[in-house]
Amino acid sequence: MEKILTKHMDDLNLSQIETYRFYGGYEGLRKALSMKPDEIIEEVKKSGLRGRGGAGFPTGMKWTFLAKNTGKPIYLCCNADESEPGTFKDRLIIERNPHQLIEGIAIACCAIGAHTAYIYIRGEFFHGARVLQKALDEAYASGFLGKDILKSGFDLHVFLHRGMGAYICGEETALIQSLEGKKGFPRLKPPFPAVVGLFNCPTIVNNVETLANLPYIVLNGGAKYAQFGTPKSSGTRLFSLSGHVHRPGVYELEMGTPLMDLIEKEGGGILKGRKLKAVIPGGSSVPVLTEMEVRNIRLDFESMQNAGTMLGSGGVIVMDEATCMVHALRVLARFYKEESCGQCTPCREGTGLVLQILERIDQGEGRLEDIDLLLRLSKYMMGTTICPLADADAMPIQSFIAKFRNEFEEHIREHGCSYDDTHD
Amino acid sequence: MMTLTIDGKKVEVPEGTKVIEAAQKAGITIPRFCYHPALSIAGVCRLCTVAIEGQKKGAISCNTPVAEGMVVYTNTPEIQETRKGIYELHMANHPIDCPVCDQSGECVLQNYYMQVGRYKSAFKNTAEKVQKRKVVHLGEKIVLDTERCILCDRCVRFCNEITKNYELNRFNRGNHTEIGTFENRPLTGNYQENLVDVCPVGALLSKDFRFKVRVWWVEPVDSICNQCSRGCNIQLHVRKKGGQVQNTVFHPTNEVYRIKPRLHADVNSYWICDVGRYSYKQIHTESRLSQPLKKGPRGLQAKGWADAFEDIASRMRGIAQKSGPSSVAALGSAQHTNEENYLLWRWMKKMGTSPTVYHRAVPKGGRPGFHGDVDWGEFEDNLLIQKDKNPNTRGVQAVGFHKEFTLDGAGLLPAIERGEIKALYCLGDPLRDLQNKETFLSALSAMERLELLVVQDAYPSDLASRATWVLPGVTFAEKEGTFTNFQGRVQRIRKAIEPLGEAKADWEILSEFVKRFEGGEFSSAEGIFEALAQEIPAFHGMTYEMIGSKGVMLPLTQTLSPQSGERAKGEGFNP
Repeated sequence: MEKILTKHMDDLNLSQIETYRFYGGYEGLRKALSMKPDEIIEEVKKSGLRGRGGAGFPTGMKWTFLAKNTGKPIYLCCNADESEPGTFKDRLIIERNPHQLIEGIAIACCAIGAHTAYIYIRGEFFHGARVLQKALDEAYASGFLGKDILKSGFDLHVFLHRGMGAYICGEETALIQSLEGKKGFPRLKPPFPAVVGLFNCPTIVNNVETLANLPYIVLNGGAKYAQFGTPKSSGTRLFSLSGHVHRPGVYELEMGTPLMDLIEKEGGGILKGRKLKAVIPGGSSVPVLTEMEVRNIRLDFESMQNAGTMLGSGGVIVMDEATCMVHALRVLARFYKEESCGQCTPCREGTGLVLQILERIDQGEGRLEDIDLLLRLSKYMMGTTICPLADADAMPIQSFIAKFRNEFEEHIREHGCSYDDTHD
Repeated sequence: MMTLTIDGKKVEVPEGTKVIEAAQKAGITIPRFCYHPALSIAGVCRLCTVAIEGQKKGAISCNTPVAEGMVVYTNTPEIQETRKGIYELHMANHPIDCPVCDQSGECVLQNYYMQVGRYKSAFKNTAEKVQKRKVVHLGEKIVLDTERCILCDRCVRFCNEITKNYELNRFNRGNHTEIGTFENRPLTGNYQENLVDVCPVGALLSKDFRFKVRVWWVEPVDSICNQCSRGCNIQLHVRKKGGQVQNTVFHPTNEVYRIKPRLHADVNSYWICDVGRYSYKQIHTESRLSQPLKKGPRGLQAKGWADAFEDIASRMRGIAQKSGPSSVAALGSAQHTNEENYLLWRWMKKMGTSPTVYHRAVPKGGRPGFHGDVDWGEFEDNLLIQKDKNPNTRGVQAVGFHKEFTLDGAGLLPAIERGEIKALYCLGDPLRDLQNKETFLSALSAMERLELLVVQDAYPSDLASRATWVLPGVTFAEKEGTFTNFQGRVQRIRKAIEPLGEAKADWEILSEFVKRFEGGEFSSAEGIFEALAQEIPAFHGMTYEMIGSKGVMLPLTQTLSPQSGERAKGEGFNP
């Protein structure tokens, strides 16, 4: 299989523009500048590229939702606020292959007619921000950004904006709010960003990995890209493998690869020869899979959907048999409680109450009715808020309890945990 | 227009209308916290979730635009369940301290608990509730309890969108989110008390009102604010004389406890200024006139009404006979109602003179609750407060008084100096706003040359202390009548409490003189208005019935369409 994003990453100088160009970098942009915007969009549609941030929305279609002839500028926001627990793939692109991202941004701007793009980068990515800024400077100096790029008459300015460390700012409308200098509160939709976005102008928000795929698609054609993966999940994808495996890390695999291949072949299997217990396949927000389910599942959107979970951001969290699921859920719940922006009542109150209950179960002070209470709360939180953060808390709760209910009951019955050794 | 079906009822609304508004039009009130018809959509409370046919998830009706043929259900078992859940979450960290909360009785949270809640709470252990700041003083008018707050965001939007001072915001995040001001700075401005109205719960409370009386012990009386010519629609919340008698020591009856705004889309929307809100203090001030006073050798002395009417009427008659009708003059007042000015005008006509001068005198200086860089009398803003601080300038002019009493009293003072005018009947005190000491004193000394000076007013003054007779009138809360605001809208004030002491409604006093001069008998303000509407062209055809709760424009070219000003967009406050 041809690698698209990590092909030359072994070359540690790839972040320098000369090296990137040595491997044929920025040729995609040169080609895009000679194409009509509609042709680029058509190629992207043909490629079947779907958003890599989590929701998996078809990128080409997203671009066509842009409000036309508004007389207002169009903005592109690159979502580099990678904060989903278990996900660290964008960071790799930013730190090791920043020019491919910049080229992707430029191509996307050609396609949608944006002359200003913002990269909203997670605040904690100090190193990434430094690398990316240096790459941007190089791209400006070489004429790939700025006024009249490659003498095509097309102007494009790209600004790097560092976030201040809020998970919610990875949600596209919260990201826009934050870019505008406001508090990162997700906005009520409709209107969608493609109609009213950054500074009330039509805006497209795309994930880092999504954009980094564009040079390949433009250069080789959408059809070529669509040959990889499955019909509905085309291309390759970066999977962030973490948890109880021998070789955690980012792996670029074709979509549709069996999940066990990622764990066994790439990850080197479970630590200490233990048995696999569960896998969260798409970042912490998606329903968990049991060992049985993991056996036969493939890494693509449809398979995951059929199994009642999601491919999400491609963050694969592996848990071995020594893992206490109550404690694992508590850790997740703490994250969502801390990161709830506090706007919508179900999320604001729900995330806190859920954590409160999980804490007491984990500490052996749970009450018999607590499990049903958790399920009831998660139902109130599911699909009742402006953004999906409450869903992201509710889905693990529902799936953890559905699949590992006995562990929760045991905690309540025995007033404690039989997996104490893993609590560190 | 688009037609949709809500709970089986067909309703036609313009495109772009939100489902919550369309439902309101169909007579269905969808429960809500954060939605407020005058503010932008926040969509955070989620309580207004409804089911829409063809959609898997529930949708919040406040942000769902109507679509042709849409079928909406607001009360299915699933929606009831969802609503109950959302409701339970609102209450989970609420302190439930209703017995000591001033909002109790008019609290939306409390009302919904009785309607949709009434469940056994799974979160009743107060020790497990999130602890937040209590008794946060936001300046001199408002106090905040962040634990009671349900974070509906209405107050934040009020500051951002109505007063545009951006003073309130949300701080922290998750379940530690709190409303507050930056660095705990005090709130400023003249519209702070509206925050108490927009707050559906007891989080933002008025320091002026709290702990004074439980809200179910007061009853509302519709009226019009008299603090400026805007004529904001208000409610006086009073304990009526002879009403529910409970604890009359701490909560005396016959008293106005607070003023609340009343919706009028074309006048004041949902708001009033703080000066208007605190103006009830002028009703219950120490310095009020409460009985007729007559000038005697040792100053003013209390007399009976019969004496007063008899003496004034006969003196007026005497002067008019001796020196001719033009030696008698009367001064209309923009502080008084159309009816009162009309009676004065009618009486003077009967005596053979025609009064033309009115005054717009309001006391100089500040007002309770007023924030401004200039004197209240000079202040205006682009929200509600008008420069003219008289409630009835357009009305007194329309009745027939068209010359304003200025420094020389529109020729009145020189005429008094020359001895041409010997008797003057003043409605209110025309010199009240004269600050220039010299002018004031010369006007006063001119007034002293009069053979008969009658001052009819609710408050004592320098002029009143020099009058031959002082007749105690009342404030706007103690009488019926109409004011005409700066737009020319005739609106009704209503009697909320009984007059102080022996004071009489101003129209009652004047109708006594009108009767004595055989100008007709009037037993009610409404009767006077009927006569006024017949005699004064600008008011032709108007009746109290037509004025209703929304007023009638002057001159009467059109009545208000029922929609404009109706509560089309929600039911009153805390909708």
